Amino acid sequence: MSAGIDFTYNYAFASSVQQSAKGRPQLSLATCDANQSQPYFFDGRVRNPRMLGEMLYVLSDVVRTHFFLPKPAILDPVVTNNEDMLRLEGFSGCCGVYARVDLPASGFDGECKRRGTTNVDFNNDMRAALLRLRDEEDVEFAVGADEVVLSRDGAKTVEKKVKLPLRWIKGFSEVQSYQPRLEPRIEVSAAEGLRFMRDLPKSPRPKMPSYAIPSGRSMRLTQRNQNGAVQILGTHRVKVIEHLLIRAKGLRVWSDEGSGASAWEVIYPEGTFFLMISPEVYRGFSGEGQLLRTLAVPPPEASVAKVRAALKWQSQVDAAKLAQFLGLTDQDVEGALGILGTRGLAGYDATNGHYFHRELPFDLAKVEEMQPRLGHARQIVETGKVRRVGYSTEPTKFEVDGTGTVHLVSLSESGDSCTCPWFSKYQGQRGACKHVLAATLLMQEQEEGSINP
Amino acid sequence: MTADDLEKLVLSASDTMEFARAFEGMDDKQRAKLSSCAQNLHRHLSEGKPTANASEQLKSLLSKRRGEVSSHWNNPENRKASLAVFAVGPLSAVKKWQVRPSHCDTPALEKIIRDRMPDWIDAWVAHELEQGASITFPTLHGWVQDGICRKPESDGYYRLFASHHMRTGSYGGNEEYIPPLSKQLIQAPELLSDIDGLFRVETDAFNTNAWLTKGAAAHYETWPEALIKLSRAGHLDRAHLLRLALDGLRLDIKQNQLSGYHKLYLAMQPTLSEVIGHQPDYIALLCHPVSHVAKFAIDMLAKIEKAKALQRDPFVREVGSVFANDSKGNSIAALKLLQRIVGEPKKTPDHAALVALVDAMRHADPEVQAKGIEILEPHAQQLSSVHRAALADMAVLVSASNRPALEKLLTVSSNDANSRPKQVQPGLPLQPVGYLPISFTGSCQEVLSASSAIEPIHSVEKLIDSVFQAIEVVDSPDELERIIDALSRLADQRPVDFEQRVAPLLHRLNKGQVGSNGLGSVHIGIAVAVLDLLVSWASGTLHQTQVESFEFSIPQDVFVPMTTHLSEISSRVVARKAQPLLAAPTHRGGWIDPIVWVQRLEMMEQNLSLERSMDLRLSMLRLAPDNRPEALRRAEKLGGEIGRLARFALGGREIPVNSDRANYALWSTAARCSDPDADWSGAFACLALDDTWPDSLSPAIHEWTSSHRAVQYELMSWKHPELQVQARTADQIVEPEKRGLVATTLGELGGRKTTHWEELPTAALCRWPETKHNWTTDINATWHAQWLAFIWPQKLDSVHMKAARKLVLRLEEGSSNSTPNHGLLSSLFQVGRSWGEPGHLVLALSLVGKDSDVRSLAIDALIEGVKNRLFVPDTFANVMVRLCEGEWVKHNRLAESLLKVAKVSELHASAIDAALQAWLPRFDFAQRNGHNVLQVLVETQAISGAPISPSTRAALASLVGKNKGAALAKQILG
Repeated sequence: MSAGIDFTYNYAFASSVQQSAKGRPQLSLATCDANQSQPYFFDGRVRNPRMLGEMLYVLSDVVRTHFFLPKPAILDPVVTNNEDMLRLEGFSGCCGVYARVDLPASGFDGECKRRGTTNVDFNNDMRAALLRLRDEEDVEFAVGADEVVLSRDGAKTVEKKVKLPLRWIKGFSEVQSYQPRLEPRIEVSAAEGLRFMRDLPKSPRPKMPSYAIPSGRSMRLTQRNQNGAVQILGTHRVKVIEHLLIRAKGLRVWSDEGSGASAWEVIYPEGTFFLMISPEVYRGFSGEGQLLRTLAVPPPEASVAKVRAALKWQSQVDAAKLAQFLGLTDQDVEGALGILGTRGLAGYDATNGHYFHRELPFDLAKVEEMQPRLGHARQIVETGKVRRVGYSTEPTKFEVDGTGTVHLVSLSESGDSCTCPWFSKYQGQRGACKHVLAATLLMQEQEEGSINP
Repeated sequence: MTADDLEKLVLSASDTMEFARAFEGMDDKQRAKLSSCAQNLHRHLSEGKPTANASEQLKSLLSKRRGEVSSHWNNPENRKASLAVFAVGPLSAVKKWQVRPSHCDTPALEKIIRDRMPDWIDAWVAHELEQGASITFPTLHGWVQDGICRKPESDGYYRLFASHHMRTGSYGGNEEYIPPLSKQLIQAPELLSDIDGLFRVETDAFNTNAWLTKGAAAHYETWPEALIKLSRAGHLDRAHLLRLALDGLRLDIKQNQLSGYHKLYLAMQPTLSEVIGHQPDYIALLCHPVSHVAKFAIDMLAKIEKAKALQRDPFVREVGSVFANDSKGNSIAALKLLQRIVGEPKKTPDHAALVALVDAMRHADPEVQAKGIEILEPHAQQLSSVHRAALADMAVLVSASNRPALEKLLTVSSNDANSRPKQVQPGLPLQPVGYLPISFTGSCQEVLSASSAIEPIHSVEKLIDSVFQAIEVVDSPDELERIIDALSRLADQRPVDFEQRVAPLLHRLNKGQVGSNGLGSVHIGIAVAVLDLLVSWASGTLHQTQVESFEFSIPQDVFVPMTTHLSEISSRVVARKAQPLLAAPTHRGGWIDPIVWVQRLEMMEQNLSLERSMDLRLSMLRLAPDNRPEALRRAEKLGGEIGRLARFALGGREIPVNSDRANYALWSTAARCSDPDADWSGAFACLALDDTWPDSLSPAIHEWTSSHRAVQYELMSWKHPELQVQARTADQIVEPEKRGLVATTLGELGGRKTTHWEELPTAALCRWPETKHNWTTDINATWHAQWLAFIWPQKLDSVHMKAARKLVLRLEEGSSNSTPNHGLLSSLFQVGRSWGEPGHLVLALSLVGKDSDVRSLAIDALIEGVKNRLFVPDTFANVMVRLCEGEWVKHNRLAESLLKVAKVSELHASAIDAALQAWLPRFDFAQRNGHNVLQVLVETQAISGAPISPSTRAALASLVGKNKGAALAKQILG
């Protein structure tokens, strides 16, 4: 069994769709943050209730699903709120699918009561009711509730004890590191997108990668890789957005060719549903190690702290302005935001190309420790199992003691290499191997003069 | 009791009940003193390893034990040690799974727990129920009744409650009398209140799987039967039970349990007033994602509608959700209900009802769309501009066959032509798009392009990197060919750190630490020779594995000439004799540019050995059809036998002479290169060869028949697909291998020379040795299967037939990583190569198979095949007719695949239409799911506008009756 943190969702009431005092349907989302308090974020009316209901339903599908084992993980989504945007994020039980609902303020009439991030309760009854919201109705919407009202109404509290797998928390944080590398590849109308989704194989599904390719004004699936194709492994993971396309405006497909991750953005007149899938069904985002190099040689901690202090729940963090404001370089700010992303303190919105501030409402202390590859690399350096070979600097060569053999590592501007099986198989696609990381750490130490070459 | 006493007791011959009695009357303090002793004892016994301070008696006992440690888990000493932990241990110790007591020790455990009354009992019970209880329900129930533990509220309790009462008593031949379930509950009325839990928790109570009641006695009752009986007898409140069943349908649980809930509800035969009373529940269930739950709701609402009690507004508001789900039946049923609500054409339906009908157009199934249009038609005048705009937006989702009707609907609905939405997809094309395949007769299709040129590996450093990667993953055989070429060409280059650099590679190969689709992942067939070459190169010593036949693989197969080739390279590599390869492809797909080939011959003319010439033979089979005249002109400069041979291979006027018979394999291969389809036996008569191998001097004729083997397993029976395949020459009567030694010797005495298939790469391709078992095969990596098409890219028939045999073996199995078949389709993607009948056979088998990787790739092949005009409708139709003789073709799978292709473009629809029209006159419409093929024709007709041929018309007209096929035929014939 994977390591996990015991966590209790302690909600003041169960999220629901009920008749409000004014006789209107009211969608109330119960909240609970890492400190077990129940913040009150928003109160108002929603302009497109059906769209909201369907997006939240699919988000709940994602968080309840483990895409390769019959093992539901009942982990609730998190919501981040400020005056500009309400974002709900969720992560699948298998750690390979990330979903985010972005709702701009223009989609609501109401009042932002407070900024911040918190868990929101999703339950069966509410799920069923979400699909019954209709646009012609005047639907009230609240995230959290006034404590006074709660104590007066005597709402029944909801307690859910769960084991949050560390890899789930780590993946939830790490998925942000993929998003800056996403490029838009295909954009089609929602109807064409729906047609594409309907043509995806149901069961049995291909085990080999499939690819989405543009085809005239539409797109289609193929098993053959080609220029501009978006790789999909596990077409059932993409199919979860099928129903959203019935009432959406368009579908935009993003991909990161380097890693093979892709993102599927369902575009509505107001708001988007952003679904991101890992490169393979059995590979969660947690094990990818895309940021290991950055973590191995991070920007100065002082820069990270400065950037951290400047985060005020912004829905868009302008890195250039922040750099100017803090007197740092753009690169340092971007690096710091990347680091903060892996600590669950920032998310990335590929659709506008900016980080946003949110703090995952979990105890993230253990996440820092969850970089075993980096840990092993440090151990290799500490035990003296990595040595520089020769005086060449391009490439710089190292020997690293492996199990029963000695691996050769080359660090070069044009790309690193190693003779270990991990590197041979993935060619750096899943982050640097521990040998490359160890060599990088050693070189860094040598450059800083702590060890003489 | 002291620790020593406890150990003696555990190791003594006493039985477990006697053992349990030894703890009677012991207080908590005494027990706590023995706790660590009991836990240590249990650990030593279960791990089979005593520590240094263990007693001599324990050491002696463990030293006498034989076999695996785990096999002693049920020894009396181990069982008593477990009980001892329960008797004296803390919660943390009893929660360990290793300590779980054996079921046969339940009485002893009960005795211990009742004597001890541990304070951890509630926590332990909760833990056990969560983990999948080791305690039985009667034990737990007894404890609850006697106040030893509190009644658990966890899900596990209800699972145990359900499964215990529904046991059949028939397990492994042992029969135990179990009273009917209702009787069990009447005898323990305190359990009746637990029934509510069966509707909150996912249990087996409503699971409809047949195995749960296998071997049950005649009086056996399922949970639903028992609940109905108890309800009728007044033990359970009927209204409450109906409510529980409806509420249970809202749970997020397995589909078969949900079906148990609504089956129970229906089995209770709710009265009309009860049904009407539950109307809001049914309406709420319309959006249920599980189709049979939504169906239940629609059926109940239909009953209410019949009773004229349907709440129209709430129903109309929710019914649109039905169309968002996949189920066709539900959507049709919902539309029929809507139709009744909408009523007479003259009446004006309300806005909400029209919106719901418009929503139906979003459904993927053409039948649903057609039904929606049919209902909307009489109300076309009432459609507002908003409705019309919504309908027009959906045109892209509407099937081609429904677009004309939709367009008509929109036309009728709008009196004002200017207000009509413009974005309606066209119906029939103005001019039917014809499809004509390429004729390969007499034409030479070019296959080389600048973009497909291969960049050779130029340095040992790059070679090492490439080998490291290929050991883990082979992207394509092109990469493998680059490596083989570089190994030979750079054999003399050994940098000073070479050994150090390849040491991790050798380490990995020796340890078997390799990737699943890499060179090192396959240990049979040609892969062994590839690995031998790599190890020989890396280690500097010749490595040649002797491969024996075994039940899964026979090494005397198509790759034997390639194995010889690799073996020759290995010998040179070890001797560090660098030599460029004639057979190294210059372009992807295994092709060699003939001009480059002649240049290579010029360079190697002096050093070329015709005796060990597998490299030369393989190179000729890879010569592209492009640039041959120019290559022939350049080959005029080549002298000697090499020159004659090269010119012959390139289509020159040279012919073999009697003195060439020593090198018959070279000349025979050159002949196949010159014209793959010609019969060269006449031209080779002067060589006096005794040769009857298919695709040696005479072209192979591939024969195949489709049949099935009837299989019966218990109550199930099915048809197992079979494909008999053989290759022969036109005049071949006896298979060459069966001629016998005498005939061969006599032939040689008469001055004739017997040919050997091992020397002839083209003949070897026709070899398909039968293995005893086929579930793992001689081709079990993707690159391995793809490489087949690289041997003789000029003619792919043999490769296609090999692929067809492999595909049939796994036709009804899903995608597999261990025996992937999709690599077998790579030959269909060769540019400018005719598919022939064998290629169409591979395509057809792939389209009807279950393997999703194969089927999806076959759809791609067909899409590209139509685009490049390699697909021949008549040939495909003929193949389908012959395949159907086996009576196993899954028409639904084929139809689904063909429909995807037809939707790509009008050209594709035309090609599929032509194939179907060529097939249908010979189609047996009585075959299962045959109507699916007609559904495809409906769509191809609508997209392509192709005319119906007289023979197709006659075939369709023969379909009468009320079945789906007849209805579709009628629709096609208009």
